[in-house]
Amino acid sequence: MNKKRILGIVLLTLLINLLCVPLWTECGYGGFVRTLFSKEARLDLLYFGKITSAEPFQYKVSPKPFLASWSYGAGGDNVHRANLRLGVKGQWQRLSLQLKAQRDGTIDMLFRGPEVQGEYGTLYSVLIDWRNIKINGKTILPKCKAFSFKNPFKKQLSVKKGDVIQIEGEFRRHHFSIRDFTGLRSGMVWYLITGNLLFFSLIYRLLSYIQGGGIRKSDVVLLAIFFPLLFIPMIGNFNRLKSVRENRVLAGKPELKELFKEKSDYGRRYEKYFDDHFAGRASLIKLHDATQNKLNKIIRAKKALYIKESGWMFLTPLVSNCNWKSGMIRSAVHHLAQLNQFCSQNNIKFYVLEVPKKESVYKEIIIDKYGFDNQIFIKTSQRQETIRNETRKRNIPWIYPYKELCDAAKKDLVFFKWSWHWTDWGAFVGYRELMLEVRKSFQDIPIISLDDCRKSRSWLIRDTWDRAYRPGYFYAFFNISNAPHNRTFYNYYDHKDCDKVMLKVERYIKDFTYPEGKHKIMLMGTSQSDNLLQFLPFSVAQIKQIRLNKRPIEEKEQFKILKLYRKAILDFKPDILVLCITTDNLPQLLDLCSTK
Amino acid sequence: MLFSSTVFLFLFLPIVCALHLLVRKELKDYTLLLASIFFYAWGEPRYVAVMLLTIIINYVGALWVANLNSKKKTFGFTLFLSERTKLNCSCSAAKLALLLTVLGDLSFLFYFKYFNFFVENINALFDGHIDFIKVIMPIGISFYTFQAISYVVDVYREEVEPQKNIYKLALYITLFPQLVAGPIVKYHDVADQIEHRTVDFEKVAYGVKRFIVGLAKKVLLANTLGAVADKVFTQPIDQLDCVTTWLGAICYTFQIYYDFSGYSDMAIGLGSILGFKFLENFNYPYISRSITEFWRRWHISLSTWFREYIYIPLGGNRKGNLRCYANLFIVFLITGFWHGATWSFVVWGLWNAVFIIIEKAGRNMTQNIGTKSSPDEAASNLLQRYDKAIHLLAPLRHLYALLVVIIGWVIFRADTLSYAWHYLLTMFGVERGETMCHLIYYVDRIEIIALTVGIVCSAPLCSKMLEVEGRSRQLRIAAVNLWLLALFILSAASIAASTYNPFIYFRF
Repeated sequence: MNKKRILGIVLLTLLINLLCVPLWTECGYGGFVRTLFSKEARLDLLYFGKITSAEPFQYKVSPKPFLASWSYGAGGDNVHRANLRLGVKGQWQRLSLQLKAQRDGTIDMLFRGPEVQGEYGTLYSVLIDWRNIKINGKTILPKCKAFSFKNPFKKQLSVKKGDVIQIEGEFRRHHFSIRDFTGLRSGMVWYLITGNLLFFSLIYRLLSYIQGGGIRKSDVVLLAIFFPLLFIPMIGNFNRLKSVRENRVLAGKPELKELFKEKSDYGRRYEKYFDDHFAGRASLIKLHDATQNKLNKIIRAKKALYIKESGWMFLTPLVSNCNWKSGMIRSAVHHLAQLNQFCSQNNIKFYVLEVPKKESVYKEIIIDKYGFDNQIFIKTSQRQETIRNETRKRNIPWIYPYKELCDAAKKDLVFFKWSWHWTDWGAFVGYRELMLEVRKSFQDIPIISLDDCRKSRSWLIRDTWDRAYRPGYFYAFFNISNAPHNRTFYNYYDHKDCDKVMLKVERYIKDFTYPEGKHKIMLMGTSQSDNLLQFLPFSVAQIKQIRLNKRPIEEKEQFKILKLYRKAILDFKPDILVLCITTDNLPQLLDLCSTK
Repeated sequence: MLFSSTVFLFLFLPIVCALHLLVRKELKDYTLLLASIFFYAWGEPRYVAVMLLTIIINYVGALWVANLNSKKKTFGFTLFLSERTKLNCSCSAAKLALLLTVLGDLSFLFYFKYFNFFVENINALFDGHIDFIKVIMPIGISFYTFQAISYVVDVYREEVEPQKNIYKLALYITLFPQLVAGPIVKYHDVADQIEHRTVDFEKVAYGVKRFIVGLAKKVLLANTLGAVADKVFTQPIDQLDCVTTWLGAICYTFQIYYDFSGYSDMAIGLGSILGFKFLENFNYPYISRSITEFWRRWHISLSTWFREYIYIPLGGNRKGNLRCYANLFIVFLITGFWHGATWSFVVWGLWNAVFIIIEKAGRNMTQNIGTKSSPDEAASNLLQRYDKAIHLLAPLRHLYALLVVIIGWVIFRADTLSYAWHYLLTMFGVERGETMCHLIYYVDRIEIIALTVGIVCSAPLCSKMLEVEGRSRQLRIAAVNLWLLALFILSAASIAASTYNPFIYFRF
């Protein structure tokens, strides 16, 4: 055996051992790598007490968090959360936080690392070192200790309105030491020795084969890489249930007995199962999408497209697939008339608020950059206009603030670039148009103005009712980074009387009570109706919002209002019923009064 | 199971390769046979029975033909065409056995592929009400039927011995690399390999390289260009303009080439990994200067099958020009029909036949001039000038061949003949639709890159560069291997990406 070969074997064996190091730590492979490159430390503040839509405490923090978000009642748990995401470095950084309580209650402080979720829902432990944590000068954690999201350093405090609490501490990216290698047990030592011996002999055989001559070495290398690459996908975790990024349940393994059925689709189903589970899937998809996204000007996905230059994302098909014959239009109008009749019989005024498609409001961008022709928009909008006009003929107010939104879009963004929802400004325009129509029958209902609100700015998107800031939704379509390429800042408006609105949250039903208002509104609709809740609660005494879609019932059942919510409407006895839909929901009008 | 599916690439292929390498030599055939049947049963378990029946018919038929061949038996019979006309025929018993076996093979093909087509046309012609049969065409039936026919005809012609071992015949018919999309392997080409073949390192390395090339052609080029072609060809004809129709036609031209040749490359590569050597199926068809040349370079296994088993038995060009033209017409009519049971394919076949016959007639005429006036010096000079002119006209001849081919592909791709007709009229500016989308809607940088690479790789530039001998040859080969690995990973990434299916509640 020559020196060259021995050196090669030793080096390769060492390399393999080095690659195995993370396996002996508590974090495992995923957590080890993520801890090494962690960019984030977390400090979460949870408030338990009286729940209103106003913040329960104010805070000043240094260093400035790169992301700080408020959310309340997410998931219906009636907790106010402030999540502070702090940029982390290798060296110690000082943390200084001053809290001022706005209401009585209890605050849980959680010092920890971030929650990092893998592609298939696996949560990885990312460790962050914390030390010298003091509350009002009293040290509660003197020595350095690593904490993860699951195992945080927790401190609970009772506060009274006006209390000021000073928190100090130091944090840094976790430094691995010998103490972290808790997994190196005696059994594993044997495993390590056996593995090394096996690997040693394998490398020895391979190197002797290559050095034997007569065979082109580059071909040996090709085959030595190609065949293992074919086998690697088989060693995936085939028990995964869901894909986080794709937001769906993965295909299950078909039962073998299905193979023997007369019309068996076992093969097709097994392919789906394998497609969803093979090892390296996520990395391969990322590689593909990164290549596509790097090269193309417009990124196309199955359900959306992204115009890189302007940073706009749109859903496809770009125009509504509402190609109705006159019979269907009559049927939809009939359903609306039936619902209107039900409302009239119960002294309820019925309104339809249709949120225009983002794609039609910003059609100029699509026409310019995507090569679509205006004719397509004109043709589809003509068909949809027929439905609106037919409904209005039946004295049902139909608010479609298309022109208003187009005008408003000249002043500020009316839709988010990375979401299909309207912005606070867009929702305000919709709210104003709705209220102008409502005031024809209810003159005592006030319309709030933006001067009544506090204005803030963020590049993150706050488009659902829990008011949490998120990077947006569309990235999942394209499988690209969560952070948009071009950061656009959006204006957000929060009413100055936020803390006067009382909230009661169930999963799909939310009650808002405002003591200074009059009348009751029942707001039924999709997520676009969530954005109205920035303004609508301050115009009336009570709002009950019922979310029609995204419920655990079949899609075709979701809009059967009279079948599902007749009792809820009669129990609540609203003065006004607002059905808030989008243009894409028009086909579902055919289900409104179905009782089957 | 498609070669470009994850379950084939990352489950079936590695397991079969490993088994094939590990089992003893005498068990290799049985392993491959089982793997091939499993491969076929994966998509359509029911139709394994049809394939097995074809194997049995041909096994028995070939033994019967060989037996009768050895006895040289003939018999006569009289065909009563009318009361006055009688036709006395004599036929060897072997030929009759051959006919019966081939009819048996074709009956499956007719039933599954053509029955509904005939019913539809009879109903349309005679206002009939014959019911359609509810049947799905078994995958690859056109390919394995032709292979089976090739076997029994080869036995009849005594070019090969009949296969006594039914498992080996089954292996020939079911061999998974060429089962679904060819190339159509003729029995006399692989008879020896079924009996004696070896798997060595060089063959495996060659096979892997060939497989990767095929996979990349299919996944990276054909699929990308296919998406553009699909977008164009699914637009209503009144929403297409001249430029878009040309874009669609060109993209489809390259899609079909890279799709089919990619599949053939993968089949040849897999064959090589398993120790077989299949003949080439494509030879840069788009550099042809005539349609005749195109058909010598395109789907070679099918063209040679038709030449050997239809054109030559019909008399080929041995029975005069008119008969030759008629034979060409028949062959291309069947070629079109073989591709699919719709009139579009028939018309596509005839479209090719017309140009091949014209080219054949042109060649015959020049040959006649040459033979008649060869003693005359002036005529000889004229011929030389003609050759020069032909040489100078080479770019035009390329253009002519490409144009005919592209038009042919439009007929081939269009759903109906009417759509194809209007599409062609739009292509040549006779009709003009109201354009709804501009070019950027159809193509972006990736598609432009794919089209450029597609055009460049449709000529033998790369392979010629590799063939150049020199010091750096080893280095070039190493670089190519590295490039092939990159292509494999990119192809796998593209396949994996097709499984990405996010669910996001939206539009509400």
